[in-house]
Amino acid sequence: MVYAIAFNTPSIIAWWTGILFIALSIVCIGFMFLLRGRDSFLKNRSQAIALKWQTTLNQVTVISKNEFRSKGQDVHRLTPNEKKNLLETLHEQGRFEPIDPIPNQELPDFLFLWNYLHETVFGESKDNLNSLANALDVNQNAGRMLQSRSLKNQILAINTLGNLREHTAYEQIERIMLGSDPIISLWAWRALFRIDFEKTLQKHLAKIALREDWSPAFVVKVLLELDSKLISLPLINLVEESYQNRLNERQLSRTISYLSITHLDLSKSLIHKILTESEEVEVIIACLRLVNSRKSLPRVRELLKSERWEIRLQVVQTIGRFGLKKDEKLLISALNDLDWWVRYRAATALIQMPSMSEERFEKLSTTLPNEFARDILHQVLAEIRLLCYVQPSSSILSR
Amino acid sequence: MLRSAIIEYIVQIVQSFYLGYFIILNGIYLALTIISLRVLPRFMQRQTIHKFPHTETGFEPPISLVVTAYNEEAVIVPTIKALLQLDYPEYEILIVNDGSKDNSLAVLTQEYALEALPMAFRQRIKHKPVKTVYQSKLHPNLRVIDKENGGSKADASNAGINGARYGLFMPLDADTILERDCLKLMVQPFMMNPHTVGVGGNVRILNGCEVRDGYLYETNLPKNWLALFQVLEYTRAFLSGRVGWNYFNALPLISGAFGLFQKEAVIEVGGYSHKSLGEDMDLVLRLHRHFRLRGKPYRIDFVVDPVCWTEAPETLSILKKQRVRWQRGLFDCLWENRQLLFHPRGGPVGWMSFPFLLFLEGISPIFESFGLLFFIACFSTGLVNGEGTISFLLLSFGTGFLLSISSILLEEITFRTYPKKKDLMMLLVAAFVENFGYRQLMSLWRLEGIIKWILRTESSWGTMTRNASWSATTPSQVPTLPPAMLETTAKEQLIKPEKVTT
Repeated sequence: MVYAIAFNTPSIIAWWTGILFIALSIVCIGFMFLLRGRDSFLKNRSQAIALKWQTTLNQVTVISKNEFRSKGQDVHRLTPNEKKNLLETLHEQGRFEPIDPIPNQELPDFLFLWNYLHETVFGESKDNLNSLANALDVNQNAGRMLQSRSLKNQILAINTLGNLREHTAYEQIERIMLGSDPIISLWAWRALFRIDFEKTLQKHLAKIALREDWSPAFVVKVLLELDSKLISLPLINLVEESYQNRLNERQLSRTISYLSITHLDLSKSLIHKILTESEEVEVIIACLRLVNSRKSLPRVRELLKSERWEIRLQVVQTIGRFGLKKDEKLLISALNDLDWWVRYRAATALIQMPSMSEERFEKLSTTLPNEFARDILHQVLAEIRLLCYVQPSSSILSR
Repeated sequence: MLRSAIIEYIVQIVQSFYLGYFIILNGIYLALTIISLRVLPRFMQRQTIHKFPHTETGFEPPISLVVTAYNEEAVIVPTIKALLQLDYPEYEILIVNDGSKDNSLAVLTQEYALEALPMAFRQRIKHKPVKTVYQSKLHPNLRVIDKENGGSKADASNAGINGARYGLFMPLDADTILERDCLKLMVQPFMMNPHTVGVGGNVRILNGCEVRDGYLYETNLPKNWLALFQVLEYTRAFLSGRVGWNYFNALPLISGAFGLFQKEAVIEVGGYSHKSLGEDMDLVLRLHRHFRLRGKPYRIDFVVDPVCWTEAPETLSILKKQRVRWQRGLFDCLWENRQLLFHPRGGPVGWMSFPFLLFLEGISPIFESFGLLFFIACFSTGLVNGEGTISFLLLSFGTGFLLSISSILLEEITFRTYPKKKDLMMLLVAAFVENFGYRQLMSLWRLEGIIKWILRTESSWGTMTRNASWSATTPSQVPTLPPAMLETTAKEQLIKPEKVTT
């Protein structure tokens, strides 16, 4: 057979591209097997490290007798003699005897175990873990790990230095905190608080208002780890400054929401002031969630006329929280709201009012002129009854 | 002489066209894989944080899980069992019984002590009427919406969205198995970025795995070759495709089996579309279109580590129906959202992922099928010699093989879902074998999908026959009520018809 076209340019390119791709695939397969071999080695090493440090770390983290008693916890399967010996050693020495430094390649695995335990234990056990780390010169090695290109090592180093309260690393971690990565920077912010509470409070508390990329939930978690007596006033000042400096709506509302972790008595006048003056929806909603002063109630009631359903929703919840008999009428009028959620929350608030009885609520659900209001009352009543069935102890209607 | 010269010229043009097409299509796939190779290891390292205890804050936003079910009595109970044990502070499970003809509702009533709730149901997005809403007396966070069959998953999902209590909802299939910590991982983008409107997660094939009480007990590769090939397809799609597009905030699809959405954003765009066969892709493209063209900030994210497991078809007939439907769905979505294509405000979606879907992914079956026929015809008529034909087949095989292998490599670097060496070998064999028949078959079925879309032949959502072989609770073990009792139960529980508020 005579072919019209032999091996022309497109065919040659196709041929060599195909060969190249197959060769690349074979390289990838080889790499996969190498990777498996390497990972198997690393896994074995991790296990060996865990085994090597298991006893020491267990000894270090055992809690003192008194703490056991006060918390009513169970002793970790240690015989009384073993526990006594351990506690005596820890208490008498206060610090561990120098141990050989950890080889660099073992450090990440050790630090993971060490940090893991640090996050799970309390009080004296944390100090004991720090004593062990100091005996092993972990602080210096972790300081070097901060420069690592590996994100995993960097995270471990930040956390370790934070837990060790290593002042020499403050500036390095501060630089990381100012970086763009929202997770790493937030993690670094937490470490800074652990290292130097006063300094970080003064220099970096305002970051929670400015960094919109930080998870508010994680910020609250970190703030809750701090002493609420010490954090309350600076937080209130921060909100006040942010309000005066006309921070944007989202930032301000987020900052206000952090006030929920403070003593609300301290912040009620500020919340009242912002609630009265502000016209921004998110800011008003954030304030409504926190209002606890009767002085603010006239403004709260006035906001039930707002055009925004989100505000009306918060208003009925706030009114329900105060539980004043004279607000019953307001809540009943909110049952006619155009928005389903406002009606639903109004009904929920109404049924939880101290002045409301099951009989009255049931009567309302049949006598109100608005069909939608009646429907929502029926639903809430049924839900509450079902809830009582599921959790008899939490029966709301038993009142 | 002149005639043969013209033919030779035409053949060379076609050859050059195919060469260019292959290079562009697979070049993009490879570029996405390279991006994933760069992004994923860093992502995995960052996840070290989540390995520490107590990383959950307790302030995570509550989530509504919307499980749509049509004739799912075989799998619905173990699925709910597993969902009830998810590790998350606050969530509700909303089962939407889409007019099932089997015993689904009776099984649910019996298993979870359902009681009718006179719910003032509000219909913010359209769907077929709701008959009754039930509340479980055993689990306060479990409700069932019993509605008339709407003929599509979109209709059932819309009812679920209307009934959802919380601001975030996750649409799920009744056969979906979630990993316990998946909600905590899925919610992270919403907590980091307030502009996030949707997040997709990783979907894997359940066939071959062992599930006990709704939990994945052992991960195995499927023994069925069709399912095995689909394992490769899912790996390619999720680990390289979606991670790559996500890098540009141009993710065109969040799987209908596993995604988390901001309810208000979805309601704003009108919920799921009844018209489209690819309702999941259509929703994501509409979200892109809505926010992009209005210049509103938004983010549609993809996270690789939350994993859900779903059953894949194991027979040619079901697989064919699925693929034809997917291709039709793809064109439905592209047509509905054509405004995005090269729109000045379309951004990376309008200029990258949408054109890729249309010009490369969408019409590739046409080129692939006709290309194969063309080269075979040229060879058999003596226009091109064996070497010329083989070189193009080699190119086709080489690119397909490399794409699959690079996806397996990504899997090895990140999760190593199948740790046994034997499983890795099987995957490599499958990556080789799929190039001889399976891929060509897929192209033909997708071509059929395109033709059916053009001809607008009658479409249906189709049914997926579940064999639930992975489940420890087999269909025969599912408690059933006698028909008479079923009728009484339904009558007793029907208290109030649907109410639509304005």
